[in-house]
Amino acid sequence: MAIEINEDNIKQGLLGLVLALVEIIVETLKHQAVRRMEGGSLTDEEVERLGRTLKELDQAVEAIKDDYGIKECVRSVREGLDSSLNGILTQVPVIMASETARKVAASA
Amino acid sequence: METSNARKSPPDGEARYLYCIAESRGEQDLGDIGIAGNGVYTIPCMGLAAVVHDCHGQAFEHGGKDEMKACLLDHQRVVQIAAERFGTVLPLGFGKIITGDEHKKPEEKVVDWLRSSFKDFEIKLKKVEGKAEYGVQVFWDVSLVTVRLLDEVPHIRTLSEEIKIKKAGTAFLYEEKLKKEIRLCLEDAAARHYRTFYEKIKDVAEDVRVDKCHKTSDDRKMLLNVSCLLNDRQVESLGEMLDDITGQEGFSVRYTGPWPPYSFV
Repeated sequence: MAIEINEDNIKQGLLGLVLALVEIIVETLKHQAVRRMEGGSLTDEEVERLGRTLKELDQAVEAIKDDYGIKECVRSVREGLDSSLNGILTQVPVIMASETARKVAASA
Repeated sequence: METSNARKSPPDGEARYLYCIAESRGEQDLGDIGIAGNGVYTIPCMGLAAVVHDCHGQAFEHGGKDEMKACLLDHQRVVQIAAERFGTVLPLGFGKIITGDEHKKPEEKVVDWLRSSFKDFEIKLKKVEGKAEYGVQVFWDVSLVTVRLLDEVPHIRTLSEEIKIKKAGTAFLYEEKLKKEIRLCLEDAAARHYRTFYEKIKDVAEDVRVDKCHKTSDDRKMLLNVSCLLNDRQVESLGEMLDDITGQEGFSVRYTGPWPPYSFV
């Protein structure tokens, strides 16, 4: 099947990829922030400041996606990454089992 | 209709496209019902027969998505017709061919394959005799379940109440925490429901194969996707069991079949 490529969809695709990666980073930051808040290592003021910053970052990412019409593209990149990661994770037990079998065979 | 030379449609290619294995003696012509109108016939051996059409080195010409879909539907239709004609069949996956070489013609290779796998085919035919495959997909409405969690789970209810009185930045982090807690609760409930439904289906069916859950476009999330091998009596029991699941608020079921037992051969 032929894939149509033009300058516009290259730009959109690249921006979609960048935004997908930014989203993942923002999600990691939010995850870490919640952990630190739950751990009690932040003052109320620090929690509030951190929350506001992350909220603004979140809103900025959403605004860029809206402005450039790349919501669908970002979603598709995220799904692709999720599916690749799932594929790798399901292979881990197989790889570990074959590695164990190799070590057992080597030590026998 | 039995014939010694039933092949009607050209080409007498260098390969044979395979649809299914059936219990049948003698070469039989099923007509031009194959993929892209190819003539379908059987190659018999020891009371079994491969249902095939003649092709060249490739299963079919490469086409677009629609052409492939049409070929897949043709394949399924031929298996269905073969099942109606021969009774129990072992359906083969889409796109399987056996090619000949300088020493053997493709039909000889098909016969060799039938002979060498005879025991295996016999066991499988016995296993699926008088049974059919049914697909069961159970969905749940995640929005509905989430609303229920917000109301029923104490620590989630407390968290959602606290958000209302927090400043904007803190409330944002509390919302993230709430999302995480809801996700954990949903995962826990999904695993619980999956186990319950799977055990119930397993008790009713002859055999069960677990398939991957697919993404859905709406709030309904696929919780369980299985293929079941059932006889007529079991079909009734499974139907009653699935009615019970559908009767529970927030759950729905997609039930398809009967199909040739693709997942069990």
